[in-house]
Amino acid sequence: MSDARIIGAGMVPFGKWVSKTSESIAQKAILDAIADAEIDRSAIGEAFCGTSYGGPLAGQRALRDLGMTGMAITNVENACSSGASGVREAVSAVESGRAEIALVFGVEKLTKFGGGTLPLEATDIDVSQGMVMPASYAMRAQRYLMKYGARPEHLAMVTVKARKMAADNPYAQFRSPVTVEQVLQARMIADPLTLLMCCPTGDGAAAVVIANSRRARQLSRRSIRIKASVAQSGKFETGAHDISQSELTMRTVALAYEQASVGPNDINVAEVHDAFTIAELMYYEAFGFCEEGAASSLVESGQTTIGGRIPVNPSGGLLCRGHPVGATGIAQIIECVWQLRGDAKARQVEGCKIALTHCTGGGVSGLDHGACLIHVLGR
Amino acid sequence: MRPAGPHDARDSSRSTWTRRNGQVVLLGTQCPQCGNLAFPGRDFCDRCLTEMSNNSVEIRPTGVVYSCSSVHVAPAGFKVPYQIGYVDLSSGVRVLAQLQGGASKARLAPGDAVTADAGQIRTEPDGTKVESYVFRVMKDESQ
Repeated sequence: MSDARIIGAGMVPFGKWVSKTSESIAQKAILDAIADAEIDRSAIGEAFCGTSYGGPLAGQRALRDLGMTGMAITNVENACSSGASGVREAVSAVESGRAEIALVFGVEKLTKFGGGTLPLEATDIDVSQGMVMPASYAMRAQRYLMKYGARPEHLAMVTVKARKMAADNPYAQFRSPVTVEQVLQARMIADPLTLLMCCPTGDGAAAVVIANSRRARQLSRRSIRIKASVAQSGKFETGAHDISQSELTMRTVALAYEQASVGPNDINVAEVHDAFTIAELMYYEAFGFCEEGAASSLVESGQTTIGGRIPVNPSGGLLCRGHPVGATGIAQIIECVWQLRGDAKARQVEGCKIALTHCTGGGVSGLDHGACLIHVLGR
Repeated sequence: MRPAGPHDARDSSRSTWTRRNGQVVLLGTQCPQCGNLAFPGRDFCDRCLTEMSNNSVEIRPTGVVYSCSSVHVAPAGFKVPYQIGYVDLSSGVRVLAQLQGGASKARLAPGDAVTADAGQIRTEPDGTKVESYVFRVMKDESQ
């Protein structure tokens, strides 16, 4: 169990911030997190910045204009898990005693690419053949549907559920309701995934302030404990293997449950990496929220919406909030901080005591995914 | 038309395929110590760390489609829609490649027996057509 606690959280609504620089997007989130922590910026001993497409020294560029340079600033790149990887580094920093209080922020400005799929590393052999992220999940979806007899309607239900919950989240981009039919009839991206089964990108930033438990208790009466902070990478696998299950996420969550001394039945709310709807179904099973092959029944039952047995992505997830890559992992954590504090307003999950956040991603030939980060949070 | 590079179109240090007697073969490396077969070829064996950069082998490119998708949104240079898929080769290696049908030009599906052929996979910004191994339905040899 970690000794770190979150004492402040701030983020900007995700969307298309075309006229803003990535630095200014990040600065707004950082100042909100510091204000939420009710500390002076001088109390921060170390800072981490998670970004995948933000370029060299993104952390220094954002903090410079806030007069927050001089301390150690470390930039963390781990594709879709960059922000969450930064959180894990900040946890280490406060646990080791290197800093009493650390700042972590994730930022991304993806409108600079002008739309389309995320640019991947051109030297990767799969990418050179035409691999794109939607196709990698589409092939998982094809195997999943074949293996477990699920239908494209189940892939659509994940979006319908996400939109329903995002309606109450002012930080999400897509908040209008959609029907299963609308999702199925949307433009095809990589079959069987339609446009509405794929998360949008966008611009955004999210920041948290983390302190060791002693300082956290002095400073705040509503700090949130980081009960587990776990990272793993995909194992290199070049032969035949089953892609309808995520070995990486299963392995990471087992470590997270162990570190936090909890099990799947203890989780009251989860924010998971629904970059594509098939992913959310696979992760229900990986987390043990249902048996293998039962995810389609679980989403259909409504048990993963607010008011259900295990609400997943009350924020609307990546599907509705959007996925400014480096900011996503921290945005997930902030949603859970709000849920645990009881500050989530209309989308509040009642009786929320333990929350799980999960992000994974990155397309590397031969790997399930590049990185997977799971955090377990509690009051 | 020029062949797609190994890891990068601009890096020709190691080819991933060639033609042998009119047939496309894939080029990998095999570990001289433990026999581990690698595609694309690698400098070191990921199992036992023995250097295998000089031990290139030809891999027979016949296998079965494991999973596939028709891609409708792709980076510049790729003509959409195109189908890509994982092919499990008889040698045990899984390869990701474009699936370009066969005589019928039909879309392929998991379980289809396929073999490699050469085909254009994309176009460089300067207009150069990039050729690579692609997979097509295997001809029924009994006919």
